[in-house]
Amino acid sequence: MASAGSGDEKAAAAAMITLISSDNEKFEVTEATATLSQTIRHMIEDGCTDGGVPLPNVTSKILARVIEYCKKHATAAAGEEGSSSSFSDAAFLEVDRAFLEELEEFDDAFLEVDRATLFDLILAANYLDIKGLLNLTCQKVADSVKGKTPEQIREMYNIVNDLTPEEEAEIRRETQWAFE
Amino acid sequence: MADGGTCLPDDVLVQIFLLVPTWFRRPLRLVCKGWRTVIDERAPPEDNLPAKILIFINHGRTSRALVFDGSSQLRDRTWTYTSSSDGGSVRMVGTCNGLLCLHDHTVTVTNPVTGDTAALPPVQTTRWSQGQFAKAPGHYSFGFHRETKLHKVVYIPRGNRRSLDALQVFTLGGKAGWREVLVPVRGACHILIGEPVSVAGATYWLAAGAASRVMALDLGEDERVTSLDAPTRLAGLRDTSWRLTKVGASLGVVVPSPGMPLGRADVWVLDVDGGGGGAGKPRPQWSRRYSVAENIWSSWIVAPQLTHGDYVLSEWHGWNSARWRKISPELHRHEVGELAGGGGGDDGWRWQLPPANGKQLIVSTEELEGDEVTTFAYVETRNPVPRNK
Repeated sequence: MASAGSGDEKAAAAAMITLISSDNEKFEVTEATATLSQTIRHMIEDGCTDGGVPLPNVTSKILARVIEYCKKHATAAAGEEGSSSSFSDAAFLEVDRAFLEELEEFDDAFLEVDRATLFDLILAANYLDIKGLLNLTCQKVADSVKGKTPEQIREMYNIVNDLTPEEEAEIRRETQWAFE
Repeated sequence: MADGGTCLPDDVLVQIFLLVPTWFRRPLRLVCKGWRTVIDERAPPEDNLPAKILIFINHGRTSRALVFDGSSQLRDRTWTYTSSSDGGSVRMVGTCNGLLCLHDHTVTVTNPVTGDTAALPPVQTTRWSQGQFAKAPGHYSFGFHRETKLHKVVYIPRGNRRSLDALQVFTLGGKAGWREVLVPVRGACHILIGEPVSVAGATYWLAAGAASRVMALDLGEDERVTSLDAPTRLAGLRDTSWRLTKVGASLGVVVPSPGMPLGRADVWVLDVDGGGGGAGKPRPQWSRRYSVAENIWSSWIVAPQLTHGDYVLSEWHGWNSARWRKISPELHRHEVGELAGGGGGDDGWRWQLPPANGKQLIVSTEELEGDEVTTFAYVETRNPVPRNK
């Protein structure tokens, strides 16, 4: 990639990728940021990113948030590589821990979105195949449903109960202990 | 998701459900048809997961857990645990919902698939029992209570002359720290026979001091200790050959009657009609389910889990008569049906010798040499280890 370029300027330019949202907004990101997405990584490997990568399933609003996540986590990934290869002293580990804490805080703040945005982020993370983001957003949904009653969950996520009363009665019979 | 507003693909729903601990999944089946189908097919709740055979082998400082799929001879997983000290050894306390509870110098609970691990603080011991504790630590057990969805680790101290009248209980995901639970039966923690077993929301143990009583700690909210009659009378206080075990998801007691060259053991199973525990539960009944024979070459692995779906395990120490020495041990599995059936009287009772037809070799050779083998039921999950506040 960058090493193939003849000059610094060209190398830097070669490492930039343009992502195009469904509403036609263009986002310039570094290759390191873009390749947190396995989908985009494969496109880059296949050499089909010239002229930008169209993402017809992702709106600019969601793409901006996804890029924000990837930028932060791409820096984290780079930091980890550096630490394992060249530093091991306590001071550096301390810095490392501080950075991990910061990353956790970032993730927590990142998840403070409404339900519709959360679902859009999940769909984008799934489509772009960004493992960390998909896991983070799915965990948020998983945490929100555990220990809740079916009624509470339906209300929370606007889900229509399409089980017939008979089916519902049967499931309840199977699992009486769960509803005591 | 079968609704207008939110539509997540099944693959994503599966990922979400797999992140919900198995013990919280069952009520999610009532949300809508789509959820029910996806959960049943791809993220079943805890009691619908296929149980595998986990064999725990202690080799001194290092211990290994080998997991076998119930349906083939292939080994699914191998995990190795090394004691933190030279003279120490790692023991398996028990398994629940894909979590392993291990004991080295202290207790840890871990999900070996995700690596999520919680170390419990050391159990509190009174000053007089500290010396005793160092020499002979008591017994631990690891159980789950379905109604409250709580995992608990129970510590039964080993008494010394004076009986101890309290257990220590640690609730995972609850308030941090061990709590004392009083045992109202005198001598019930005095001399423990074998290891305790946690099953169906209770921890059971056999106490010689309590004269043929099976002690039970309810793992629910009230944590009451009760006792019930043993299936038969203990032959005497020195008869320490009884073993508690699990038969499916019920408590079992293995009662051996020694003999040469054949020893025989009866397996009694506790039937609690209606199940679920709680107040006003029906009177427990024992029924003799199996009768098995053992000799010096082969023995059943009876604890702490006897049956694994359709199988039971036996350990066989081959004998090379020409060289007058033992050859490497082997582990076999047998169909449960090969054990003599229950019912009928003592007369004409059929015995089953372990190396029967239809046995299947699952582990052999030096892996088992000179080591203690125990067997557990294991389900593979991505369940988190509940954290304490």
